[in-house]
Amino acid sequence: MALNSYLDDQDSAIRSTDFDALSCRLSTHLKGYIFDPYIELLIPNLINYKTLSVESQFKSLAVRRNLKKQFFGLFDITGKLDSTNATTAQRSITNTYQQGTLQRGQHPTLSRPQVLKSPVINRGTWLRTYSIDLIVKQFIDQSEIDEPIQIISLGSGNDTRAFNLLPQYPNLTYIELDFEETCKIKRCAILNPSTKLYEPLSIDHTSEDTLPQNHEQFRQIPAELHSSRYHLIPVDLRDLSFKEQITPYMDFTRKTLVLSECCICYLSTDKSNELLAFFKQILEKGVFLIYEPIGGSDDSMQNESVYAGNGNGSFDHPGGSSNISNQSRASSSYGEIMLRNLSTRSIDMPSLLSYGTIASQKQRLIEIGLDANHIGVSDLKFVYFNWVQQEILEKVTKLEFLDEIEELNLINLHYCLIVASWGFKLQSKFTPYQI
Amino acid sequence: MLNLDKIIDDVKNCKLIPENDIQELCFLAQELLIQESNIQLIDTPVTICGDIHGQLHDLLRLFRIAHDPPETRYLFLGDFVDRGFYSLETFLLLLCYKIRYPDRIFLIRGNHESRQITSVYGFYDECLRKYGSANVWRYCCDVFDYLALGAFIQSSSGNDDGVFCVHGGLSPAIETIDEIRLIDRKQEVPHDGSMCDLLWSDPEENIPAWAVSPRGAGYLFGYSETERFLFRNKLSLIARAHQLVMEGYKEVFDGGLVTVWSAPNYCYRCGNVAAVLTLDDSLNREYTVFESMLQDCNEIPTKKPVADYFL
Repeated sequence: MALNSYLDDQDSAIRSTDFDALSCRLSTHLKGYIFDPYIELLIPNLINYKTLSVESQFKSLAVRRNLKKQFFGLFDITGKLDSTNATTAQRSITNTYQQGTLQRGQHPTLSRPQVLKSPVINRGTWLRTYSIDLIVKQFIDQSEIDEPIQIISLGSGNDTRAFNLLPQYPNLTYIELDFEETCKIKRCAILNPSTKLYEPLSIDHTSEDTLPQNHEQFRQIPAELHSSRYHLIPVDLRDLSFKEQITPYMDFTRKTLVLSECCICYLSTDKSNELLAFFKQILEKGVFLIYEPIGGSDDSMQNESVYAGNGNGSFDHPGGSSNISNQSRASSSYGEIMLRNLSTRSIDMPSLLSYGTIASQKQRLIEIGLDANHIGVSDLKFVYFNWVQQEILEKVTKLEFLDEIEELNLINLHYCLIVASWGFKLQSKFTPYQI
Repeated sequence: MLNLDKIIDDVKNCKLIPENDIQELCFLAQELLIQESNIQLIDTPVTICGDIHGQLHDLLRLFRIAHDPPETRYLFLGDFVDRGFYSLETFLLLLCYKIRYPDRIFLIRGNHESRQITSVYGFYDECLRKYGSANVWRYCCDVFDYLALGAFIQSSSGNDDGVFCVHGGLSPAIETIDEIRLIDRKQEVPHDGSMCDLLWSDPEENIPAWAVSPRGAGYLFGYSETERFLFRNKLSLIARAHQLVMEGYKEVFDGGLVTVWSAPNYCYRCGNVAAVLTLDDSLNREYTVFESMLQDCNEIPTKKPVADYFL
């Protein structure tokens, strides 16, 4: 029992990282780096239903308060939960933020821009979203218009990618896997008639779907949600018997992109490798798209010269080849401090030092059975200076003043983007870092 | 009347200093700083410190390692505030020392000593959180406007070439140190021009002369521009801060320029070490490298429990 509650705490600490990511994404959206029409609709719902998921009344008040704070106090929600709440919240943010009429990045309710995340976090969050979207788009673009394809998002949490992609690409099926509680909350958010988030997922909303009004009701509701092309499935990724849960909704012969955006890094390395091997085995044609932190190592094999630009779409950038700071490779002290900082929130990240370099990440996939020629691993500093078109970079640079170039490079150096395919070759115009 | 020694003690212990005392301190500091020239002349020996960024406990560690003023003569190259959780205490401690020992500690302005930057990077928020109003922030910003722009260090014999100290670097609009003396510095840091460049520019090894800075202010300057500036002004070294260096300090351009960074484990996240540079009477360089200390200061709640990551 004691062990169980310890594990529950661990899981809820990991679940809490969902809200970190979402809060970063909201900040990046409000600053004009990305445009995500669904994020402002999703957040008030999440705050409401997350609060309902908590049994203790006082704890739920604290949870609500913390979430409001995490979303910069922009979502004005009263203690009561009713269907108008979400729209009120939505109005409070959109009234003053009319798309197109206001210059992005100059949110009127944000006369003091510092209420949002710091520029270095905004820039890094944008890069994360931008680079993952690049590869996702490439994956989709390489399919025929009538060729059915799938995306499985591991630990999809509060991601809005499905809302954005499904209406655009009729040949796409999107499957989201996450903890049961996270799925329940997302399911409620999607089904809320006032925000109509079910529409982009082509879910026929029936009024029979009653939304919970209190914790008791929340406990009773299902966590799964299905439409012809969207599936939200509660699973424990550490227990591979979830195959039975996903089999009815997936076609293992279709081209499938398996996305892990800061997900498998929270699993033990054994479990994450088993999970990757599992997908490699059940899917005929697949591609792993993995974004996660790398803690660095003292014997890193990385070589500085590539930052001068190589491959297609690359260019020279003055900040990219700076020799002033010796930050050409990931150093393990960054990873050790990251582990220490995360441990104050009870978050463990087993892969951070075990697979602390792009070389060891690549080796890990080779050992799972992928072809070394079909594995590309790049750190995000490389991605920043080699994958982003100059004009986009210039646009982004103008959004807000970023003083911390060295820090941005240092942080980016400690995140990697892995693109690894089997059964077919994902043609990429983006050259990965050459190891 | 201010009891400086008590305030110094209280600041070191992160106790809240009364708003009136801070106002008084800031007025005193302005009276002192207004008399200083844009380029301060400093005698040797002197210990040069780079960015501190509100990491009070690491600053206290620095003082323990390199000795408290007035025992050691200090030059701080700016960026006292922002990013760390104790910007106010850091700045107040330095101001108190400055008022107490005006000839033993020198402060020059960094690009973060500005209203615009501090309202984005944390100092404004910190003052608001600790005092419930922006008054304290405003008093401090008024002091920022009076900080000198650079320093010139001469060996006590006067025979050796001197050392030019500045927060950022060179400006294409400035050829001699004397030209800096002509700037009207008592203002918010402008968005461009020579004053802005001094606080914002960075050296870059792979460019011939000047290049656009990715920071959006100041310039990148190369080997040849540095050589020319050293020669023209009879200098042996440019000492500057402004850029995080993992090793605490880094010499470039055949030892003609050094970056000194004094905020260990910057932003509680970067894992770097810090350094200070001590110049002896013959301007010999000695670097002292130090690591961060894990601090716990309970009197004032910190802004966030941990540094931000992409999770």
